[in-house]
Amino acid sequence: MSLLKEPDFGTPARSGEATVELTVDGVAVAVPPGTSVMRAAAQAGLEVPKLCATDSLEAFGSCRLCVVEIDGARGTPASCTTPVAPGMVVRTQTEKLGKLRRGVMELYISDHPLDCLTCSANGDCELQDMAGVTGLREVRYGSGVDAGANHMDLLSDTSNPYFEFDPAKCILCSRCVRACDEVQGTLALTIEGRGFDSKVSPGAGGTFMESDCVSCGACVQACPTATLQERSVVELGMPTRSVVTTCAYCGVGCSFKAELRGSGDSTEVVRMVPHKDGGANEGHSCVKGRFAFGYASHPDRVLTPRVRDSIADEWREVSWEEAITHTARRLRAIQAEHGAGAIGAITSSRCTNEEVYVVQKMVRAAFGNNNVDTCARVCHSPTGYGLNQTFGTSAGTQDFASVADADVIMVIGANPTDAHPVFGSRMKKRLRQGARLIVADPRSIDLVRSPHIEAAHHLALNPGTNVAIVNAMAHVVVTEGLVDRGFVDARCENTGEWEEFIADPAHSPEAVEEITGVPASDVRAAARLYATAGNAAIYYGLGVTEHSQGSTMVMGMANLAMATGNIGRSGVGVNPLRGQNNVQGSCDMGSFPHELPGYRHVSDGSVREVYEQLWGTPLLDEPGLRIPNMFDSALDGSFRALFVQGEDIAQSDPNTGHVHAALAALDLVVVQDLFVNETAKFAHVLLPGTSFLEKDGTFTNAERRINRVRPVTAARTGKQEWQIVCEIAQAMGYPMHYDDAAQIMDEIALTTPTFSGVSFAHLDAVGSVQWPCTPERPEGTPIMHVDGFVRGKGRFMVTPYVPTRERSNRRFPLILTTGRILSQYNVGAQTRRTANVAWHPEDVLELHPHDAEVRGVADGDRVELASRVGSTSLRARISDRMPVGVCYTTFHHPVSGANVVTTDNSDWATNCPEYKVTAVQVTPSTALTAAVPAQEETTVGAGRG
Amino acid sequence: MDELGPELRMVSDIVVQFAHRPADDAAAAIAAHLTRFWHPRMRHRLVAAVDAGADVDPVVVRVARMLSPAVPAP
Repeated sequence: MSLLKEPDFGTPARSGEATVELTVDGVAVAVPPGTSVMRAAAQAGLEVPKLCATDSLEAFGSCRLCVVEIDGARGTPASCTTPVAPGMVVRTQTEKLGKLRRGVMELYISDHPLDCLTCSANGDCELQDMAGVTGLREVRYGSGVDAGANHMDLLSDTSNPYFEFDPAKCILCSRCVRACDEVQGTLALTIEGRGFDSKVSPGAGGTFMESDCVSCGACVQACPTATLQERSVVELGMPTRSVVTTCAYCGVGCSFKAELRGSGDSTEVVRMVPHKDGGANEGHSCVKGRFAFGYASHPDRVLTPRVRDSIADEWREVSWEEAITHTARRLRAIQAEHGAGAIGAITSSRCTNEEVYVVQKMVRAAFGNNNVDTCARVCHSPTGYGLNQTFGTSAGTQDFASVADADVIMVIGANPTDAHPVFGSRMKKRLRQGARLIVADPRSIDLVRSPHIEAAHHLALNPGTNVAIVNAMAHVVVTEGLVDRGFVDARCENTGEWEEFIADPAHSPEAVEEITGVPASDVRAAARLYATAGNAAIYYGLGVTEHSQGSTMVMGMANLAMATGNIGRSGVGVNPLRGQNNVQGSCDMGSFPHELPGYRHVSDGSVREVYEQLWGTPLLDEPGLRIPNMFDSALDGSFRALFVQGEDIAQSDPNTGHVHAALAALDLVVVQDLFVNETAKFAHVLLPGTSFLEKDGTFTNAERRINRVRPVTAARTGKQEWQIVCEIAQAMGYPMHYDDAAQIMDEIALTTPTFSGVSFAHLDAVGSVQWPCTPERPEGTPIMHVDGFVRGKGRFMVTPYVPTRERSNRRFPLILTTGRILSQYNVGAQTRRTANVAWHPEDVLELHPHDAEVRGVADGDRVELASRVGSTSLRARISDRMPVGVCYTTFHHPVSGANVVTTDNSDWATNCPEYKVTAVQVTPSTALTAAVPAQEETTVGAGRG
Repeated sequence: MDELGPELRMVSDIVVQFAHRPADDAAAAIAAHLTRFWHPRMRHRLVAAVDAGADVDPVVVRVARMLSPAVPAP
């Protein structure tokens, strides 16, 4: 629970009109049908005592503290489990009820340690509150050990690094168990035993760390006592104030209350509590956002600027003034010698919209070129291209809440329970309610089969064959008469050419079965389900985009959604699950070398004119360099200096050897980051950055939701990142100044039509908005393309399947695919500096048992992983989640450096790297790699060795 | 093909995506794509490589011809 309380109505809200009128303690109230008496009372401003009820969970009716009297009803029903009825007359405070409640409280307190003054939950304990509310003055049975048999000697479970479980303080309200079931959907907790022996248990009697618990914190949040308590509260004490801000991990963009102690320089973050009013997360969290914020105060933080002449030199700490002057002078000198286009910058999806905006402005206005790109290049740039071509805008179509209306959910190349866990929990909730599930993924991700969830179809396709699968599904839709003809005829174009293309028997499930490895009957069944089950929603991730046909696949999914009419209402859509917190925003802010903010091409003179007038300088009308182009140009000598904002390209970008060579070839690398990351090893200037707890600005999440990021503490470096960028631009001779971050957003709103209604003041007033947000739509746009597509008509695109050039052969017989896991984030710079390493201390290579056996590899062995471009060593994990011929690893640790082996292959349209398909060989570390035949013999189809 | 420069590798990746279209249509679409997304220096290099006799798909030659007059100086 949270000391800094938000209203708790006891039971969840029900949708619908408030048509049921009743009277509670003489107060008239109207609520929707199905509402509990407890919630109706709360809405009337009357708080009924409760312990087992909280409005994030369905009513349970176990504590009996919320009993009420209802005219005409027998006994004293629990108000949490009793639904309202028209004309109902309820009394919540009578002498009889008071006596009953005190009796209940006596029983609770008789088996509870009375150490309130020294308890970590003192002041934040609902049991303590209820003792006061009910007027408990004596416990007739005695208390603690005096009361006879009790649970006071039960031992605490301190296995989890972030919270403790003290069963001696448990009142068996089951809120933790229910939160794990209903909110998180992991079902890791249970009530073990019967009667007096009943106790909360993680799994089958083990510890939390031994159980399936994912440390989302939902149980801690739900606990009304100190039974489940954050260690930080135990160690620091209760927070005294809070600031609502936005998580800086994944693209879900959860809202949190940063609960604090102290003020000014002595401010300490005690805990991060998920915000109930957060539009993206509605009170839920994951292990990263909830607990893994300690990196912000880690001793590795760089707090003082550093410079050096050569990367072989030691760093020299300098003042901000010297660092900024030095950077500006070097950038101008390089331009003078090699041309205006010899320098550029990379923006970060971890930074705020305002920080990103000023970097692209610095490049276009101060550098005088368009050489700005963003790390979205290596994740979701195909989303921008594909959705823009088909729908007319580079963003997902829905809000997260839309999934609650989906009848069939298709997850393609995404692993939401690991990479977008809070949205994954929403999705699982809908699946437990009965929505059907199609998973298209080579791996058996958790969603394929988990408690109360089983995919109707798992299309375990060969890596690199996404387009063949989506075309085959569309072929079934078209040839079996499943097209939503009304939708297509009214709202789409290029239909005839596309239908002729897709109806070709070459695209049939039978024809591509050999390529995809998926039985044709499964593809046909999945296509029929998607097309006929009602609302069908597609959710996808980097398993779609990070392929040589990433953009084609995005267009293929858009085709499928349009053909079946699954666009423009709740429960449907094409939804990218963005990797980092501000991927959407960094793209919106004009980070791509061909686009100004709002996805407007640099060749559009009318758009350039807006900025030229405001910025007072002419802008180039030709695209700049993309990140891979920057690397290539660095190696050929035409590109000489790079400003890198909060991104570790030396670890995260593919073909590490190539990236390192490019960085080493540059005359000047400027890194703005929290830590001396892998890229900083190639840097000549290191500008310390600010953590999300210090930033003032906005993030835009995967559902286009613009959330405020509020400073919880002062910038530990003494400067906001946008200030540093502005000062560099000014030192280069280009005037660039803002009084605060709000002014930057004002400029964004002034120049970008889809943001024209956005301001910090508006966000502070309404909480958050989803763009487009305009004066005409001040509340934003949760669902896009409702009455028509942004581009007018949705455009069907012909999407031929073209195999990747990356092929397995005798020398490299396996296909490696990469991804992420729950506890770590991206290159791990943040999460590796938290206790999250307890779950994932190193990257491992997952292998199918057959592939391991034929190579003599046992679980836990160190193995060499080699591709055509490099090799690395890591530990093997034998896993039947993997198909034969495919292995998997993560890229969270620089030691193993998974990207040493990934290649330069990329999406044809956007150059997004093909991280998901690399032909590799795996050998025990002791084996001689020279023994592997060097002959290159391409096998038929990728991914089967 | 990489020894000839990344531009030829990238354009060959694009050409195969348009193989279903008539050569002239494909070349026009590819030229438009490169104009929209490629830095002028890269387009120049592509044109220069084709002019130098690089062993490329005939569609790439058509693309280079379409780009040639329009590519601004790097």
